[in-house]
Order: sequence, then C-alpha cells, then structure tokens
Amino acid sequence: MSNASAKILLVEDNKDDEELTLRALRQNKIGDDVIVARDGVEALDFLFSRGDADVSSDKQMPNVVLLDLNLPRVNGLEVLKAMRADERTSSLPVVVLTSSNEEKDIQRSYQSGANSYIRKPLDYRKFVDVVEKIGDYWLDLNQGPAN
Amino acid sequence: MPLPPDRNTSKKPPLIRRLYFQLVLLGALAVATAILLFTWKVGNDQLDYVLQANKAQAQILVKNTASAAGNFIVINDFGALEELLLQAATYPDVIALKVIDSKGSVFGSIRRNSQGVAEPVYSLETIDLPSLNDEMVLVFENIMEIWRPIEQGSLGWVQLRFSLDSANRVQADIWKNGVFTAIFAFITSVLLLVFLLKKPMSAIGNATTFARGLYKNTGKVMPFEKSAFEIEQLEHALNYASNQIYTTNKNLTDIKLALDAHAIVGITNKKGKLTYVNDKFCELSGYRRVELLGQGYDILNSGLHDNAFYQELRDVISRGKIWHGEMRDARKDGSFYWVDTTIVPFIDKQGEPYQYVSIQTDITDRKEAEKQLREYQEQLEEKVEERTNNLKVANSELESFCYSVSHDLRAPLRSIDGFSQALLEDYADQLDEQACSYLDRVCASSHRMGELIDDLLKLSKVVRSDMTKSQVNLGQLASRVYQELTEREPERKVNFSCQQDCVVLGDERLLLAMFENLLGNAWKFTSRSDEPRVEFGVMHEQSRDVFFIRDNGAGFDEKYKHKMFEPFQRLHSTEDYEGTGIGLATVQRIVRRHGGEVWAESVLGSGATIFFTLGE
Repeated sequence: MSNASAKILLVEDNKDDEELTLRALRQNKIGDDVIVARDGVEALDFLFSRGDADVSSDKQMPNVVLLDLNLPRVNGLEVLKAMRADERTSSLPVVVLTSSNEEKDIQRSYQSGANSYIRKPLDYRKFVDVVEKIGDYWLDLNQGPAN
Repeated sequence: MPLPPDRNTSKKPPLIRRLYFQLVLLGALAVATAILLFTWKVGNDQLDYVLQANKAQAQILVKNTASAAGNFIVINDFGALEELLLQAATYPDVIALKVIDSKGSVFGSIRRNSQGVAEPVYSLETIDLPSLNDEMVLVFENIMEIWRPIEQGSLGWVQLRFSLDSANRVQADIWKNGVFTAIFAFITSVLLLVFLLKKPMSAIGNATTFARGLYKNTGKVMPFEKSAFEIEQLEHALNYASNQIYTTNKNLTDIKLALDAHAIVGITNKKGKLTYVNDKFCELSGYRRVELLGQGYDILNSGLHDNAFYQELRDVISRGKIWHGEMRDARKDGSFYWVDTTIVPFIDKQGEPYQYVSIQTDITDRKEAEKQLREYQEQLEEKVEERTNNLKVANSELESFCYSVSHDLRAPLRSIDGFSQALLEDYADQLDEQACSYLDRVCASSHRMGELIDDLLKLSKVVRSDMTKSQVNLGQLASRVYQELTEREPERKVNFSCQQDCVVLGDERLLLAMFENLLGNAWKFTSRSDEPRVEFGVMHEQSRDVFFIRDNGAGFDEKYKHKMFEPFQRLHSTEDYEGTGIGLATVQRIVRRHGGEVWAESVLGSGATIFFTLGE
C-alpha cells in the first residue's frame, strides 16, 4: 500500500485470489507494480489519498484498476460510481475482474463506467493467460488518459 | 277479478216474463183491432147501403102518395086521402105523413103513435112551404124528411117523415157482432199465443239463465229443446261460447295453478293494498292470509332498501311498465328472505293501471350462496396475493442464492485449482509422479465442479427468466446452432438435415438454449458413428406439431428413459461422453414453460430421437 508508482491497483478481498492473482502477475513480470486494496473503502482511500493512505502530493494514479465486485463495506460498483463522480479518477481505466457472469452485473458495470468486464476463469492456467493479456493490453498497448 | 254479483237467481227472470206478456197481449190486441176495423168498415158500408135503399123507398112512397093525393085533393075526398095515408103508413119506417095545400094548410096528416100504430091527426096548422117547386130531401139525426110537390106545387105538398132507425139498427147489430167477435178473438189469441210461445219463451229463459251462469266457467252445455230454429241457433251459439269460455278459463286456471306451484303471487289494487295472496306467499312470509289482505307491501319491508328504491319501483309500475328486480323482505318473525320480483301492472280501458300483479321467486339460497361465493373469492384473492408474495420472496431468495452460488462456490474452486497448479509448478522437483497425478485429479475435479455449477445456474435461469414470446423459426435456430457446432469442431463431418419454415410462438432465447442442448447432445453422441447423421424435423400427429431431433449415435437403453430428463442423470459414463447431466433437464423445463411435452425413443447403439411439442 505504499508503492507510489504502482501501475496496477488490485481491489480484491479474498486472500487466496489475491495471492493467485499476484502470482500470475509475477509470472508475467509485472508483480512489482501492483498495489492491493482489500475492500472498497481502502481502494477509495488510496485513490483519493484519504485516511492513513499515502498523502504525497506527487502521487501517480495507476494505469489500470482491477476491480472485484463482491467487496465488504463498499462494493465494487459503488467504488466505480465514486471514481466516475470524481474528476481525478473519472477517466481512469477500470477492468472489472470477477467470478460472476450474471447479465445484470455485466450491464450495471458498463452503465457505471467500467472499461472492460472479465470473468475470472476457474482453470488457473487460463487465469494466468488472462492476467498476461490484461497486462499486455492495459500496461503496454493501451494509451491511457494523461495525468 | 271481482265476480259480477248474482242478483237474479229466479228460474224465469222478469225480463222474459214481461216479453212473454207483451208478445201475447200485442198478438191478441192486433187480432182484435183488425176485427174491429173490419167491423167499422162493414158497418159504415151497410149503413150507407141501407140509407140509400130507405131513401129510394121513401121517395117512391112520396111520389106515389103525391100523385094519388093530387086526385083526392081535386075531388076533396078527405076520407080516401086518409085511407091512402094510412095505407102508406103500413111501411113500418113511416113516422108521419102530411098533405099540405098550396097555401100551407095541412090537408091531411097521420102519425105513428108511441105504440107504433099509425093514426090520423086532425089539427089546423099552417106550415112554411119550401120555396122551390122540386122534391127536397132533408136528413136529421134519425129522421129523413122528404117534401114533394103535387102538380108542381099547384095543389100542394106531401111531407114524409121517415125513420132511419132500421138502418142504424143494422149498423148497431154489425158493431155488436164485431165487438163480440173481437173479444172472442182476443181471448182465443191470448190462449193460443200463451200456448204457442210457451216453449220458445221457456227456451229463451233457459238460454238467458245459462248465459248468466257462463261466468262460472263450469263448461256445462245446454240441453237442446225442440223450439224455434232461431232459438236453437242461439243455443248453439251459447254452447259454443260456453265451450270457448271454459277452454280459455281452463287454460287460465291451469296457468294460474302452474304459477302458484312455482311462484309467490300477490295482487294489489290501485292503492297498493293486497287483494290476493297465494299459499306460497303466506307460507314464505309467515303471515296468515287475513293478516295480509288489505295491507300494503310495506308490511314486508326489511329495511335494507332505501326509499329511492321503492320510489323507483312505484314510478315504473304506475306508468304501466313492468318492474323487475331483487329485493329482501322480512317475515312475520323478523327473519329475512330474498325474492326475485316481477311486478306487472294490469291496465284498464282508459290506459290506467287498476291492479298490480307481483310474481316472486324465493332466491334466498342463491343470495346466500352468492354472498358466500363473494367471501370465498375475497379470501381466495387474499390467499393468492399472499402466495404470490411468498412466491416473489422465494424467487428473490432463489435468485440471491444462485448469485452467491456462482460467486462463493467458484472462489474456493479457483483456489483449489490455482494452488494445486502452483504446487505443480513451484514444487515440481519435490513431488513424485504419484503426487503430481493426484494434484492433476484435484484440478480436473475442480474444473468439473465449475462446469456443474455453471450448468446448474443455466437451468435455474431457464426456470426463473421471464418469457418474451414472438414468432420464432425453429429451422433457422437449429441451423444456427449446427453452424456454431461445426465452427467449434471443424474437423468433424456430420450430415445435418433440417426442416425449414417451422414457425412457432415462443421465447427465442430459451428455444435457442434448447437447441444448443439437443443438437449438442446429438453432436456429442454421434462422435463415434461411422457416418454421423443428425436431423431436425416435424410431424403432424393428432392435429398438433411434433418436432424431433434424430441422430444415429450411441442411443440409450430405453429402460432408463424415464430418468433421462432428471437433473444430473447420465446414461453414459463421463469417460465415454462428457457432460453434467443437466442438458435434458433444461430442455424439459423450456418445453414445459411453452406448454409442451418432451419424450425420447431409442435403440441402444443405433441412435436416439427426442420428440417435443410446444403447446398451442
């Protein structure tokens, strides 16, 4: 939570998922650029530099936010809405990464301003592929908004 | 209807007796009058005739006397003259006979005395002579006086007084006979008419009595009496009328009987007072007849209907219109009953209602049943609402349950698979072959568990999702699914024939899921066939469309076909053909939601056919 130059903000409450995601990121050589928030409140605190989060003024926004929907306290959709409502994060790319494939969740995510919606594959090998593609795309290919 | 009062019960009413009397009297009087008229005519004619005869006789007598008297006057023979006069007086009608000289002195005179004997009269009297020298006839009441000059009056005159009594006597005789005859004829006529008219009069009397009794409508027939033809006709007419009245009245009575058997009947007069109530009326209302007659309907008012209700009723019937409706009345003991009511005003010749007939049917039971039905309906609606709410709650619970299944069951599976994989990758040098194989199995099981969860969620979605019906071409759907299957496994060659133009009304999304499962199965189970064939088609059976998907794949043992639509039921091992056993259960849910049914036929080893219908 203190990496000021993190390229990825991972919002994930499940420790196993966090560990596996981080492992997949490490396997794709982008493990060091990740900061993890364990719920919606932590994520928003980090993004808006509130509470005990880093208050350095030259803080850089991550290139992409990987957002789970099912989160304690403030859930993923609420985080998304809050981000889109604030001008500092209104255009920050957000990829919803969740185990749900409910039509309702997909629809609401896009309506709330998600840039992408990806269902976590159950097969870990496929998951590693997915994480690699996310890294390639959002950190390499994609031209993000100017900070 | 009030009956006409039976005022005259005597056998022969006065009208007939008077007519009888008048007819007899009139007949007899006519006969008598005719006779009297005849008598008058004959009497007058006879009188004239006798008078003429007397006059001629008297004139001859005067003429002869005058001519003879002339001679005796010339010779002054008074004795002979007297003899002549007495001789002339032998005619019984001669009252007096005088011979007078030219100076008016009476020359000779005879007169019949009170005994009827002619005798000479001797007197010196002078009489004024007529001025004309010609015969003169003067008629007084009973006397004819004739003057005749003798030798043109130079010698004198003869004056004869002739009695007309004989002529009058003839007339009087005729009258006497006539009156006697008239009286006799009158009496005879009376007797004859009394006798002749007796029968017809009695027949008329009987007919009248019979006609008076017609209102009693007993259907009696008059006994025929042999009397005048016209009266027989009258009797015929009366009998006919009687028969007609009897038939009409019998019909009316029968109808009334039928009406009384079914309905509550009450009649009120113009003022609304009851003048008639039938037994059912008394029975239902609990009042005795005497308590009801003379009362208005308000005696039965149960207090349920307001004044406006009764006012409207009165308005309608007082205008001569029929009123129909249902009302609640109260019995004598205060309990209530419902009647279906029709009130018919009876209209007089002036077009005004003179009485009102009310026909009612007891509908208390029906009303009670209606009330209960309403209560049941309300209860039922409440229950339906309650259950609908329960169902909604259950549905939303199911939905959140499914949601958490999809998330919370998958997360640990991902961990199991992920960490097993991590072990295999990170600690491969420390694990022997056996351990690696175990970890592979753990991974495979978690994958399979993931598939099961996904299929289960699909099945529950089929049950939960809303139906949006539209025209769907099944042939196109089947072709689309086949296309997807070939794209997924392009190396497989399956002969697919498809019936196009099968348009049904259904939910396209669900029907697509159905074809995915059915064609997916067919595709899967023909993977070991030499020349795999899959067919979609339709047959018309018992006026309904039966669709089918047929393959020449592995088929199944028909012994277990009742099980194949249950979730998680598989008829082949996972090693042979993969799958979760939820596909056909999903198909069955989709077909049932469309109001259809699904069944399967197969011969093990030579293919299977799944049939389905889609309701109407």
